[in-house]
Amino acid sequence: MSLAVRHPLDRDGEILEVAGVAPSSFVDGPGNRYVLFLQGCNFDCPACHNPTTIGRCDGCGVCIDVCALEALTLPVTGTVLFHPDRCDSCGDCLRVCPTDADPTIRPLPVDEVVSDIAVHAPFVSGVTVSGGEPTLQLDGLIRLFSRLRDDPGLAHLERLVDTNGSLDRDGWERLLKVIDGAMVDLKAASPERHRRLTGHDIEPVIESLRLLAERNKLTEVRLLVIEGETDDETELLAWAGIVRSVDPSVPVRLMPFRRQGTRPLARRWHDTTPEAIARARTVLTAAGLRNIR
Amino acid sequence: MPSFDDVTHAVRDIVTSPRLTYRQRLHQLALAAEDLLPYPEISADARRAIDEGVVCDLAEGHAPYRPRYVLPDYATALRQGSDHLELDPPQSLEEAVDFLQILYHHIPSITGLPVYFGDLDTILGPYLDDTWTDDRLDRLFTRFWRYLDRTIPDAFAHANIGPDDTPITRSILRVDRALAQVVPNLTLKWDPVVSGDGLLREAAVAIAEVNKPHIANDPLIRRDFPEGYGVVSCYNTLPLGGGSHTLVRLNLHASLAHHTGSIERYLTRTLPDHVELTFEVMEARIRFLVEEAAFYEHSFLVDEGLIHPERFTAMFGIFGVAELVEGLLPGCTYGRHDEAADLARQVIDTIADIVRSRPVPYCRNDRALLHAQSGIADDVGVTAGARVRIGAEPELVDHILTVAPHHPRFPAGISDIFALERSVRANPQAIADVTKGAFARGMREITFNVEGSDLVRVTGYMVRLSDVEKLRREASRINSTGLGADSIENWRLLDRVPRVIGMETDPRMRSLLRSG
Repeated sequence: MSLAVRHPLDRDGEILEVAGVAPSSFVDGPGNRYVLFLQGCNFDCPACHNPTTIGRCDGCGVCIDVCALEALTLPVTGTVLFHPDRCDSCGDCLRVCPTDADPTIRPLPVDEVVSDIAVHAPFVSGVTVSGGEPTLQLDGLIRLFSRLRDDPGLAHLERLVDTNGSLDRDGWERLLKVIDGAMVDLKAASPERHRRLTGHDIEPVIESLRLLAERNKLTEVRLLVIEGETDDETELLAWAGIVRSVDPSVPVRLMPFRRQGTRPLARRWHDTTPEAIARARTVLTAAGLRNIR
Repeated sequence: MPSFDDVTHAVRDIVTSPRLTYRQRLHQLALAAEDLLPYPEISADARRAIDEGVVCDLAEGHAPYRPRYVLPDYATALRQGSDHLELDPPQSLEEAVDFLQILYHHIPSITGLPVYFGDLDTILGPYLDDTWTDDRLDRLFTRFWRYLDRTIPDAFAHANIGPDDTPITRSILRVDRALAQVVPNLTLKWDPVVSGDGLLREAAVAIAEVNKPHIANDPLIRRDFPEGYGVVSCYNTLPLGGGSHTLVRLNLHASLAHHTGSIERYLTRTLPDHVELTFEVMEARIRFLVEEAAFYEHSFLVDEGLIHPERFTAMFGIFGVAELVEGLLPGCTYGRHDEAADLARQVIDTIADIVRSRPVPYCRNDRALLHAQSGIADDVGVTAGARVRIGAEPELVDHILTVAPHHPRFPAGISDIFALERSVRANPQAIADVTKGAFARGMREITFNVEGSDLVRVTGYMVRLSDVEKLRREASRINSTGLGADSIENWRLLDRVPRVIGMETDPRMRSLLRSG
C-alpha cells in the first residue's frame, strides 16, 4: 500500500503542497542545494523542529473563524482558500490548527517549481526535496524529478530526497528511477524508543535503508542526537549495529537536537551540546562506522 | 590653510601617539607635511563639493607625488634584472623570490607600501624545475609569506594567482590557508576552462577557513585589459605595467542631498554636474602628479620598462548607490524592490556613459575607469559601491542577481561581500557552486565572509578580529588594523546577514512561492 496522499485539488500529480523553499542551503546534501520542503508527515516526532509541516490541511475550517482579516475562506466544503494579499502573518491559524497543518500554503504546479529551480540552477549542485515527509506526495515528487531529469538544462542537477524512510518497496521502486540518492533519518535503534520518538515502527525504515544501500542510493543516514534519549551508549551501539549491517561505509551525519521551534512535548530535552555530539561520534567510530560527518 | 598652532598640535599628536608604531608615525608625518602645500588648483564649485562631501579624494593628500596604485611588470624585471638596483636576473626560484623581496621596497603607492606583489605563480613559473617537490615549495612560500606579512604590513598589498593551475598556485593556496595572515591579500583569477573545477574547489576550501582568496572572473576581466591586469588593494582591477594615478570618488548619497526636483532632473542635471566636479578634482590631481611632481620622469620603474606612463588610468569611484535610490524612491529598498534595482541601473548607466566618453589627460586611452568603491572607515551611513545596505540583504542568490547586472559597467572593479553561515565550513563545495553561478550571471568578481573566522574582510582588505581587540590597548604592527577597527564599528560590518539557510529549523519561506 502506498502512503501517498493527494491534495484535493491535484488531479494527476501536477500539484505539490510546498511548505517552503530554501534556494540556497549548505546542509541538505553536497554543495549548494535548492531545497523544497513539502508539507505533511506521517511521523509525529516530539522533537520535530518544524511541526507546522506535519499536518496536511483537511479543510475542517477551524482557522476561518480566527482569521480576523478574512485571509482564509472556505468556498467549498473541505477546501480552505488562502488570500495572501489580506494576510498579515499573525500566525493565529497555525496555532488553532488541530492537525498541525498550515492553511496558508498554496498548492504549486510542478511546472512553476521547475521554473524557479531553473533560475537557481547555475548556483547549485543539486535539488533536495525534504519536508515534512516528501514521499507522501509521491506522484508530484516523481513528476518533479522526471521533469528535472528530462530537461537538458537541468539534468545535471543531483536529485536527492531527505526522508524518514517510511516509504514502502513499491514506492521506492518508482522513486528510485528518478533520484540519485536518499538521505534517511534513523531516529533511534531500539524498536520501543523508535516508536516513542516517531510514533511509528522501525522495521519499514530499516527495510528502506537496506533497499537503498543495495541500489547504491543511500546518500546519508542521520541521527538526531538527543541527550538522555539517543546518546546513551547502549542505544548508540545498537544504532551503529543497524547501520553497519546495512553499509559500514555509508556517510553518517549527527544532528544536534534544538528546542527552538519544537512543540511543548520536547521541552523536557535541552539543546544538544557539541560535547555530546563528540561523545556520540567516538562511540559510533569505535563501533565500526567509518564515515561520520 | 591651517594655523601654525594647528599644525604643531597635529604633529605632536602623531609623534606621541601610543597607537602608532615608529613607521606609522613617520608615514603620518609625511602626510601632514604634504598637506601644508595648497591643494591643486580647482574651481570654487569643486572646492565646495569636496567640503560638502559630494566629491571625496580619499585624503590622498594635497600634492600627489606618487601614483595611487602601481602594478609593475615583475616578469620583465625578473627577466632583465635591474640596473638601478644593481641586480642580475635571478637564476633560480629562490633567487627570484629574493629579487622580488628587494624590488617590492622600491614600489610606491598611496599607502607608502606596494599594493601589488604580482601574479606570483605566473612570474615564478619559469623557475620551477623537477627539484621542487610540493613540500619544498610550501617551505619556500611559508618563508616568503612570513616576510611579506612582517615587512609590508598593510592589508592593501595584494598577490594574484591563476588562472593556470600550477604547483605554485596550489602551494600558495595551501600556505596562505595554513598561515591565515592579513598580508598578502590574495586573488585567484579563475577561468572555467583554463583553471578548472579542481582549483576552484581548493580555493573554496581555503575561503571556508580564512575568507581568502577573493575570486576574479578572469575571462571577463581579461577582455577589458589586453595588456594584462592585476587585482590590487580593495578589488581594483587595473592595467599591468601601469596602474592608477588617483582615485576620486563621488558620494551619491551626498549628491542627493544637493538635489531638488524629479528623478528625471537628477539624472539629467544634478548627477552629470556632480560627475563633472569629480572629474575636475581628478584632473587637477593628475596634472599635479604628472606635470609638477613629474613622477613618471624620475622613476627607474619607467626607465627600466616596468611601468609605462601610457598604461596609467585614473579611477572614478562611486559609492552610496543604495542610499541614493532609496532616497529617490521613498518606501523602496534596494535589494528587495525591482524599481530600486532598475533605478540603480539607470544611475550607473548614466555615470558609466559619461566616464566612457569624457577625455581625461595623461590617462590610458584618454579615459578614466569606473569603479564601485568599497568604502573607507569614515563612511558612516553610506553603503559601499553599488552594494545592498547591510541588514537589507535578500536571500543569497537574489542578492547576487540584484548586483550582477551592474558588474559590466565597472571595468576598474566592483566588489561585494557575501556573508555565509558557518555551516558552509563543512561543505565548501557550496562556495564553489555559488561562485560559478555568480560568474555565469556576469559577475566580475566575488568574495565571501564566512561566519566564525578570526580573519575577516573589511571593504576588501583583511583584518584579524583579535588584532582589532588588541588595538584598543596598543599599536598594531599592521598599518590597516586601525582602519579595520573603525570600519567594523562604524558600519556594523559584522552584522551583514548570512542569507543562507543553515538549519532546517528555519526553512525560509519565500514570497514567490507563497503568493505567486
